Parts: sequence; C-alpha cells; structure tokens
Amino acid sequence: MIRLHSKNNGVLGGLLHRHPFIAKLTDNPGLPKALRPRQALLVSDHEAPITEGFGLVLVAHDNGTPAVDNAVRLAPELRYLKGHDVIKFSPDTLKIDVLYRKEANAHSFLVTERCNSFCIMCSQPPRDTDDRYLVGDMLAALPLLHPDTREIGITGGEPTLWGEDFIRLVQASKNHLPNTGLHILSNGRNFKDVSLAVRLANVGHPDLMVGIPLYADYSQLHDFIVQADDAFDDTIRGILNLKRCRVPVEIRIVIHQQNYRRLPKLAEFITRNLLFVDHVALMGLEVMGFAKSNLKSLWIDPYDFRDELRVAVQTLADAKLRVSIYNTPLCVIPEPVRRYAVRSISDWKNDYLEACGCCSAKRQCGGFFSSNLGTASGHIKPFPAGFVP
Amino acid sequence: MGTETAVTFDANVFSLETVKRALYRCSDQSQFDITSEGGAITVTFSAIDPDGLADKIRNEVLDQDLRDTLSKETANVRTLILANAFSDTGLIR
Amino acid sequence: MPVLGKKFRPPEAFDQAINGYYQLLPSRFVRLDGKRYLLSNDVGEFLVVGRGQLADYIQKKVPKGSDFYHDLKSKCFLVDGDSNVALDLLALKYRTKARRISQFTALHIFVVSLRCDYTCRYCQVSRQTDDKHAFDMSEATADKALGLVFKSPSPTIKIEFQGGEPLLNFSLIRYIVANATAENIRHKKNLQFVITTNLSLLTDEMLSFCSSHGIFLSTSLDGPEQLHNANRPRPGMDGHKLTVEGIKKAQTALGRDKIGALMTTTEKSLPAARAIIDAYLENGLDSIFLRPLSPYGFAVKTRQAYKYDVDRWFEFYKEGLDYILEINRQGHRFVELYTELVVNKLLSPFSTGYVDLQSPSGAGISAIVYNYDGDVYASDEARMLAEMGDKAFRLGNVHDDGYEDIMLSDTLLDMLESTLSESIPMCTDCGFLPYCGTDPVYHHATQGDMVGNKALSGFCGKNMKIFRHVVLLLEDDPEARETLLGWVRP
Repeated sequence: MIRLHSKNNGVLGGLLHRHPFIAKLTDNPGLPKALRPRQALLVSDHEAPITEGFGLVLVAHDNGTPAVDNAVRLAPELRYLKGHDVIKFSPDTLKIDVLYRKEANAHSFLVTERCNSFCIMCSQPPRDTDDRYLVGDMLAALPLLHPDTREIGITGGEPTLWGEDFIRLVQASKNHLPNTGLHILSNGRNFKDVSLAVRLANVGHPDLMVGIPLYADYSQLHDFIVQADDAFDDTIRGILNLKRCRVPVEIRIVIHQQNYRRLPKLAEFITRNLLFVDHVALMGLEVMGFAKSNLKSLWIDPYDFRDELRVAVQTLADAKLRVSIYNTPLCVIPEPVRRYAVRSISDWKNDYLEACGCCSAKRQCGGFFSSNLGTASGHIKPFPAGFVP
Repeated sequence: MGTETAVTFDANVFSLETVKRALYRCSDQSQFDITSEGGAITVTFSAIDPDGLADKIRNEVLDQDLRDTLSKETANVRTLILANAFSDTGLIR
Repeated sequence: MPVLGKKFRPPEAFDQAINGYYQLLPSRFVRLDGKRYLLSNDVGEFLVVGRGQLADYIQKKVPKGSDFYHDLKSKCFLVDGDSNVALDLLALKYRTKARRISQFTALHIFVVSLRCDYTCRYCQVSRQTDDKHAFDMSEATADKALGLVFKSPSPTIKIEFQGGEPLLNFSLIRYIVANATAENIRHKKNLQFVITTNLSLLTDEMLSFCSSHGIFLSTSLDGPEQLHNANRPRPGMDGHKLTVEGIKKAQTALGRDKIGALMTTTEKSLPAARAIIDAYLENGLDSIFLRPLSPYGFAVKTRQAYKYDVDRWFEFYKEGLDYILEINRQGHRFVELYTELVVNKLLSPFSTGYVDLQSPSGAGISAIVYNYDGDVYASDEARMLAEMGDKAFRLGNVHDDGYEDIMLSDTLLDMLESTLSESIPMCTDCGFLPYCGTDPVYHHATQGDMVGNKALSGFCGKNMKIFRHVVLLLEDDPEARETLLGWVRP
C-alpha cells in the first residue's frame, strides 16, 4: 500500500505560501527560471544541486538544510515521488496530497464527497461538506499532467452534483489532455434529466466512459442497496439518456451477500434491456468504509458465488457484451470465465497474501485490495509451477 | 361421429365471448352449438371421445377467461407503450 | 434480515408499492404441457410458470417479495408503485424489434431458369424442355430486376439464384454477379450471392468463378443414396453420386463454410431421420434443416403433401433433433437450422429475418422473387403457387412496374395488413406470438384465405409443437439447454 497523503513534512526555511499550492514535480534544477515559480524541485540526495526560484523545494533526504525559500522536508512515506508527479501542498497544515503519480496504473480525481445515494457497501462514505475546492484542485492539476497519460478518472461522491462545474471538468480534461481517456464514476441518476446527458455529449470528449452501478434486476433491491427511493428508475433512465446521446456507458456491479443470488437474472436483464452498453464490470467488494462496518451483511466468499458469477459472465459474453471481472483473485474464479478477469485494483492499494508468494499465476492475477487481506476467501490456492490459468 | 354431449357454464362466471373464443381453439375437433338461457351457457357437440373433448373445453374456457382478463386489463397500457415506441425518441437507431 | 448500521434503512423501507399492488403489463400465454404454461410479452421475454402461478399473476395475488414477483417484474410483466421504468424499456425494445420492417427486403431471389435435369416427383416448379428461351431469364429482365434490388433500404442484400437448375443458365449468373458488384460500388451494401443448385452440372470453371466472388452454394441432399435417388430421380439415377461429389469439390474449392445442403422430407424419409443426419455428417456438413414438405407445386398435384400429417412429421423432427443433440453431446457441433432459428427467436432480443416466421408476413419485407419471365412475387412459395396457375400473389412485372408500384401494390399491402398476428384469431392471445409468424401463401393454398383458421392449420400445428418441444428442452434438459444456448447468435 502506498500513502497518498501525509502531514509528516517539515518546514526548512522561509515559507512564503499563504494558500494551497498545486505543482508539478521536477528533478531538473537547471529548469529555465521563468518556469520555476510554478514547479516543485524534488531533491533526492544531499549532493544534488539546489537552485533558486522554485515554487517549492521538496527535500527527500535527511542530510543538511538548503538555504532557499519554500523548502520542505518531505515525509519519508512520500519519498517515492518522482519528476512529473503532481502534488498539492497546504502551508497551514504542511499536508501534501499526491494528486497524480505518472507511474501509477490509475489516475483518479475525487471531486466531491457528497452523494445523493448512500450505498450500504460504499468504500468512500459520503460526507455532506462544502468541498468545492476539489473541483478547483482538479482544474489546477489537469494542465500539469503528462500528456502521455493513458486515462484519468473522475470520482466521488457523485460528481454530477456539481452540475455545470462537472461539465467544466470534462471540458478541461478534453482541452488539456486531448489524447487521454476519461472515465467518470457516477450513479447515473442525474442523467435522468436528458439535458445533462446532452451537455456531457456536447463536450465531444473523444474517449469518454461513464461507469454506472446497477446492483439488481428490480427496483426494490437496487434501491435498498443504494439506500435511495427511485434510484433504480433514475439510473436506468440515465443510462438510456446517455446512450441516446451516444455517450459510452459501463455498467458496474459490485457483488455481495445482498445481491449475488440474482446475479444471473441481472445479467439477463442487461442483455434484454441494456444490450447497447459498452462494458459490464462484475466487481468484488472492497472492504472499506461502509463495507467494513456492514461487513456481516455484505461479505460472501467469492468461492460461494462462483456458480452465479460463471452463469452471469457467460450470459453477458454470449450476448457479445464486453465483460470483465474486477477485484477477484484468479484462483476463486471458475475456470470457464477466468479469461474475463482483469487486474483492476489501483497499484497503491493492491496487495497479495503470503500464500500467493509461490503462485505461478501471481503476475496475471489482480490480487487483493490491501484492505481486504483480513477477509480473503477461504479458498485461495496458489497455482502450481508451470500452470497457465 | 359419436354421441351428443353437453357442457354447461355459469354465465355469471364466464362471458359468452370467452366461451366462444375457447371453442374456436377446439374447432379442429368438432362442431359446436351454443345456447345461452337462464344464466347458463350450454355447448353441445358430438365427438368420438366426448369426455376428453369436454375436459379440453372446460380447460380452454378457464384459460380463455384468464386471457380475457389479461387483455382487457392491459389494452390501455399496450397503446401507451406503442405510442411511446413509435414517437420519435431517437433511442438507439 | 441484514444487520446494518443504524444509519441504514431496511429493505422494506424501499418498497413503495402499496400493499403489494401491481399492474399487469401486456402479455400472453400458451399451455406447454399438463402443468406448465409459457408466459410471454410483446418483445419476447418469457417465463415458464405453473397453472397456479399463472392464475395468481393475472388475479394479482403474487406475494410481494417472492422470487416469482421479482422475476415477473424483472421481465417486464408487471409494474408497481416502486418503479415504472419497465414502460420505457418495453417501448424501446418494441422499437428495436420493429426496426426490421423499416429495413425491408434483404433476400432477392432470381429464378434464372425453370429448366432442370432432374425429374423429382415433389418438385414444385421445374420444367423439362430443350427450349431455352421459353424458361430462361433474359439479360433485359435481369437488368430491370437489379434496378429494383438496389432500391431496397436494407443494408444487407442477398441475391439468391434459383431454378429449375440455375447452373443451366450460368452465363446469366455471371452477368448478374458482375453487374450487381459494379452497381454496389456506389451503394456500399453488404452484398452476398447464393446459388441453389443440385450441383450435377458444376464445373471447375464455375467453381473458380464462385471462389473469386465469394459465392455460397446451397444444394439438396435428401439422405443416403437410395432415399436421395428415390426422392430426386435423375435420368441415369446418378443424382446422389453427383451431389456428393459436388459437395466435396465445393468444400475443397470454396471452403466448408461456403456450401450447405437442404433436405426435403417425403413419406420415405420419415423412418430414416438418423440415416439422413448420418449422410450429412459423412459429407462434412455442419448443419441440416429438417424441413416439412410444403403444399405447393407438383407436390400438391401428386398429393404428396397430404400423405403424412403434422404429427408424423413432428415425430420425425423430434427423433432427428434428439439424435442431433446426442451428436453435440458427443463433442461434435452440428446444428438443426429450424431449431436454431426458434432458439434465437426465444433468446435473442433481436428479430431474425427468416421469411416464414414473421409478423407481418415476411413476404415482400424479407424476401422478393423475380421470376424468369419478369413477374415479381412476394415469396418463393407465391411463385410456386403461380406455376400451378394461381397468381394470387403476383405483385407485378419488372418490365411494366416500378419499385413503388410493386412495393405499394394492393396485393402486397393486403397481404401485410391481413397477416399481422396481433389481429388474427387465436394468434392474438397466443404465448408463442412473439416468436411465430404468419404465412399467407400457405393458408391461401390450404384453406383458401390468407389468414385461415389456426385450429385447422398445419402451419400452426407444426410450429406449436416445435415451440413447445424446444421450450421444454430448455427447461427440463440441462445438457440439451447447453447445446441449444450455443446456437444463439446475438
């Protein structure tokens, strides 16, 4: 597990910032002077030269104190940072948030913690707070991302709650990173208003996907899981509206104790009603947030829903839908559908059990959420040497 | 063509229309006379296996009764769905 | 009952349906066997239910919270106070299904010659003659017909050459293929060609032409040698040998997927289902179409069509399908094409384009026939009937009538109007309606009117039996189900 935030940073010299400072890191002390004020110089060892004029100097070692303004001793747990990464530095708390790691396998921006649903297994429990600054952070970070970034994500909370600002984020993503895919996680409910779908489509983002959760094939169960009346109808209408505007849509199904039994029927429902969606992801539970506090009602060993998973995946694949299995170790996925498994967990929270050390399929396997190591399936079994899953 | 048999239905329970529709489904098996009087609908026919056909008619009338309920109750909503389907919504072309 | 934190409400709190009240959505049912019914809706979703469940559903007594309630809801058989999005979904699905009608006429049949080298007893159309000009299509007629082909809005155009024996007029096939291909540069349709032939006149030169134009061949193989030659006599009685040799040659020259065979069922075929299928296996064919004999052409004149009834044919079909499922279980993929069609109708959300199973009738919409003399018919059966002297389904002639004249002819419009199953007695509330169709030509030929009394109809009898059989296989036989699911093409 990689830490993405730390307050464990120390002031080394005159700190001139009064407001949070979002900057790209560089390890090039010879950068033209005109560019330095908006970048942060990363100093990896005490022999590296330090030059004047950078917006921030991050000292990633414990030897000596440089005689420049805005120098900060970087927390040890953040010393993995490299040039091209993007951080936010808050001078009042000395907190550093890592907004972007060039090397990461996923780049997501949480743009709000507010949500109009209250899912019983939410890994990012909603908070009703004024967090508009998150929109500003993303808008500030976007121009700093490396243009080769394959894909970025917008997540929440519910990003569409920002209305016009949500559209602005999509527009800015397209403007600054025209060659980068954009994946938005939304519960889709606000797209029941077709005008929001139209506005999103009108941005004309060339590589956009909206990931929308659907947890059941009938309203009562879905509404219970997301703890919101009418959510099922709103979400379905949202999906129809987005597809009517030709916006690519991915359906995301988190599997747990409350919905695994009807998984095959949900798959059938999708092939009958939503065959035009672009991707369906069947996802293992991330034991975080509400999933942790409600674990008793939610946890089911993936081994115990293997039949439902197999039938559901086959139903979807037979209908020529693009389908993936996320967040589930290979050894508990039934063999006929194992090829749909994807290494889906973001690298910073991805781990393996000790038992996995000798597994011959470890490199192909998505492994576990770091938070799930304590509740792993009872049927984890390393593949023997030479085994090709 | 066998003996003449009669099957009677209570007109308070089954409509004449329902009985007629049910008999249409049996029209490959015999010809039917239908009379309706005194709250009873009587179907008369000749058949080689009169009991078998009488059972079939009773079952068909029961089924047809459900069918008639179903189509009566859903006629309006079907019109609504069709109107919706062919209004120009632009959905998946 | 889930144990959730205090911030969460229990499942019941999210049921807005008052007292479990629900509203029925349009649906139909049909009896499958002594206990079970098929309940289906307009867009082809279905459930197999018991008599009690059916009555509960219609009398609105299905207990809320039960699996059956949720199944009915998930498949759009009811709406309740908690959700009405099913209405949107049904409308959308209806539209998807209806799309076929706006993209009409994918199959264009060119009867390039009525002449034939065979003398089959059941043959419906062919002529024995040396007078080429009397029964061959001319280039002028072909030109006019091609003009009509490319007026069709369908994105896929299949041109099928039929006879008689079309290879007897191969120069015209070359002519049509060349001109259609050239014309298609402008239209950019998905254009395919098929020749329906007995293969006896197939030369290497013809094969190389077929190969270079990606032309499919469809032939007739009625079974083992004795049966084939008895059904399909050819002067010299070498029909089977020539067919089998032709199949082999075509498989080598064109590829196995480019040649298929059809069989015709006669009274002699009935006891020989397995032997017929074996003949297909032995000749490297991957599918068979267990066809009933149609009541047209010489078949009616020789009373062949009445020699066995629907029940006997169905026993033949069932035995054949059982054997085919066994073959699949043994690890060899082999498909019965009519069953494949039915399974697709049942399980795929899309309409399939088979002419005989559509409502309104597929005639004219799915297929159109240009006869050798330029007469245009709404289906192959319609032209067979015409060869017997009944021109009731003639839509016009390519030399006299334009596209609009033909497609808006009273004959075709009457046919379409009277063949919407939704308005036909017995069809209108039959659970098989979304999968079935109407065949105006069949009912005209057998009952003298295009609609017909379905209780007396061999078309209805046959399809009901097949639908019941296939649905019950899907329900009751897991192994058969797996094979049949493998036949679904989305």
